[in-house]
Amino acid sequence: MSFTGSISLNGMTTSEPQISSACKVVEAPALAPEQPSFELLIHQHQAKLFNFIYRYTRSREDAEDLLQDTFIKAFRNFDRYDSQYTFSAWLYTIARRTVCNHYRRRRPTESLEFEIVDPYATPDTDAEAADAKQSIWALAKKLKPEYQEVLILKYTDDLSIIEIAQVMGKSLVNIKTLLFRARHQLRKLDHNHLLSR
Amino acid sequence: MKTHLYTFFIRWYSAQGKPLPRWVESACEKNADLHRERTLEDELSRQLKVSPEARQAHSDVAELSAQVLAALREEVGTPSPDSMPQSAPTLNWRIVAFPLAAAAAIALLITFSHPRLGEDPAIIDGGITVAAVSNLPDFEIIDVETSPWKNPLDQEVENVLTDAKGAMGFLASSFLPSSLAGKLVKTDGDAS
Repeated sequence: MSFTGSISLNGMTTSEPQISSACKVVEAPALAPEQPSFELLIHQHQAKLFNFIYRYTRSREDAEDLLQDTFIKAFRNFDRYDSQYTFSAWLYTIARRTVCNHYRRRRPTESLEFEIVDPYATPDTDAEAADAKQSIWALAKKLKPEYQEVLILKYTDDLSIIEIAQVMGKSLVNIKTLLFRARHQLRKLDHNHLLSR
Repeated sequence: MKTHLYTFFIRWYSAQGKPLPRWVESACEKNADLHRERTLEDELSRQLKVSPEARQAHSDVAELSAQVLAALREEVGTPSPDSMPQSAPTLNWRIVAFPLAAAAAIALLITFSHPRLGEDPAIIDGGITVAAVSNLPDFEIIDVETSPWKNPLDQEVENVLTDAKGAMGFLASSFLPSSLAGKLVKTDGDAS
């Protein structure tokens, strides 16, 4: 699918792409001027993208650096954006590959693992910590990294199954099976009967 | 057995976030265990939709945004937004295209104003080909061929016909009765 139009970063244009109607940004006319600003896209997606990267790195400094790299790559390659996928899914795909490449260079012997962690978690009270332990996500942290990743992408980042398949580089059936198994495992771990309260 | 099957479908569709098919819905309405299963799956989906992040540090997000933008500007090599001109510089391609077009026009002008090779043509006469050398003292007149010149396309057509006839003869001798094949080969031989 080809593009027309242009994208600017504070008045500076790159090539001649235009986000198509498949992108959630332009579905809201108020956010979609004729020349959408990349800055606006950064503001809309950076928080979730940062959390997503942090769950791989578990280091805020690394996550910030890799977030910058992700947006730079997205800006450079904006003309390659395929509008059959949403812009967020495209960003997630770039982010995941950036993280994988980074780890392959720096820690080639370690495998990259996804983990549900909160980059801003500072439980101030014991009660908050106790509450956090009781949530379903506390159980999810005991799952395999692959299961954690697919649950986060589905339920926290609101990606569709097709988009998750694109981000993780797997088939649709594979993603559906992962979701099925992840939820099944959560039900088995729910010894405290969180679901039936 | 049926209950297990229905349970599988309830979990399968719930995992994808899709509504249950009508036949599964009606089974859930009729069977208490299936109804409970569906309720648990719905509750699981609801709890998963509550974000695992305890809180969001908004000040950090704003700072992060500024860092990303600064990195992008540095990458692209633009000045700060305050000094940027209001009008978007969309004419970059024109700045490159016009000089290129002018250069191409000048090149064409020089080419066509230069004496053409055709004005001092290579003389083709009965197979003798002579390179035009009047303006090129470094070259020598070369006598390439003296044999009668033949149209290469005619030559090629003849070759194809010969090959086809040969193939037909082979096929005839292989598959047809010898008496008939002999007639055909003789006919081909006469024709060639």
